[in-house]
Amino acid sequence: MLAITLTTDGWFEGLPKTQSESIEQLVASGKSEEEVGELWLSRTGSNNTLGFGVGGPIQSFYTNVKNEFVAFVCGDAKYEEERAQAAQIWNSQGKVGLVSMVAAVVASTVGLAVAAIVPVIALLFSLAAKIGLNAFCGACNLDTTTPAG
Amino acid sequence: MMDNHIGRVVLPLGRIVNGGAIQPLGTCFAVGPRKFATAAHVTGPTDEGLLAIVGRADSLSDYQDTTNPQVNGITLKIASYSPLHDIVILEIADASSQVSFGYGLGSSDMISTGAPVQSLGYPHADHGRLVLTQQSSMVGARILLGADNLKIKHVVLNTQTRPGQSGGPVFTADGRFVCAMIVGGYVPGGPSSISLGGIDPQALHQTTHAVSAEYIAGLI
Repeated sequence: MLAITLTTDGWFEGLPKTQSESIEQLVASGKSEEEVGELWLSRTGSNNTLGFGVGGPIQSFYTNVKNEFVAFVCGDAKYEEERAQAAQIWNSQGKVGLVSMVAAVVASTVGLAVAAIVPVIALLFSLAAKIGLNAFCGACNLDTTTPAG
Repeated sequence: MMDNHIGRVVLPLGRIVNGGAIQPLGTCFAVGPRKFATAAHVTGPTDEGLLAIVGRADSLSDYQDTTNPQVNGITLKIASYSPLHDIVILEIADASSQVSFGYGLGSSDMISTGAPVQSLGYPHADHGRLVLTQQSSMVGARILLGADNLKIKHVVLNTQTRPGQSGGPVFTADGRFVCAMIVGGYVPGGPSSISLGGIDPQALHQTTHAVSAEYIAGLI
């Protein structure tokens, strides 16, 4: 598991104003971090608006992102080296650095832009910090007994 | 007065697809020396193969050559993404490249109902047509649109738009400020399952939604 003691506040502080304000409003309105993360990666725009872009509909990528995040923080062996780096980044750069680093690792695996998933990674860390990393990994049914990297 | 070289910074956005062909997606415009804005639904959360198509237009006064098949692009990467506002900020991948432009970023607060505005974009890009087109219209209403539990400032423009125009800038009448960005049209209950010549019949009306540019400034 990720060898870091997560604290609860400040996960959205490194985000641009438009992102942090909207995420904080959604959470304050009663949505869970998971629900906001899913919204972030499954829809665009306002209700009742049809976009005039040429591309097809946006797919939902949330499950893929969450699965890789869980693999990363909960001890999947494939991320052992990166978890060690993450602990060092946490010590030197704190939450902003950790979120950016994990977003870069997850984005490269799931094929999305790093900047597009940074807020989702911040949401998942916020959730994990709230309930505790052990409980988070337990709820996600991942083996947490793998030694920290 | 619109910048005489506005065609250098309001560009068609495309993506390299299978076989190396470029599929036009929409419109983007410069919002910083190395940054462009467009609608999030145009790109989605992936920037693989994204590029701004350059060299198609310079001044709006020029005759744009629709027979020119050449398409050159500059690679863009997603720098910031806010899907509920339907905005994405793109950055030029080549660190040595920059653009310059003479307008500022404003907000929908600057254009009251009835105010004349100028919008730019690439209508019919779904058919490969890359013609920078100016539309003059006026603000029909200022509205708060719901995106889940958020209320987001938009303007209703009294004009019809076509695929390819999403991500186009909406300027104040004097061309000095971008106050909104085109994101689509009103369709009650979401898109229908019917398509006539690529058009959702519900979107066939004389109004367009544009999101306030203040949210773009909040992503840069």
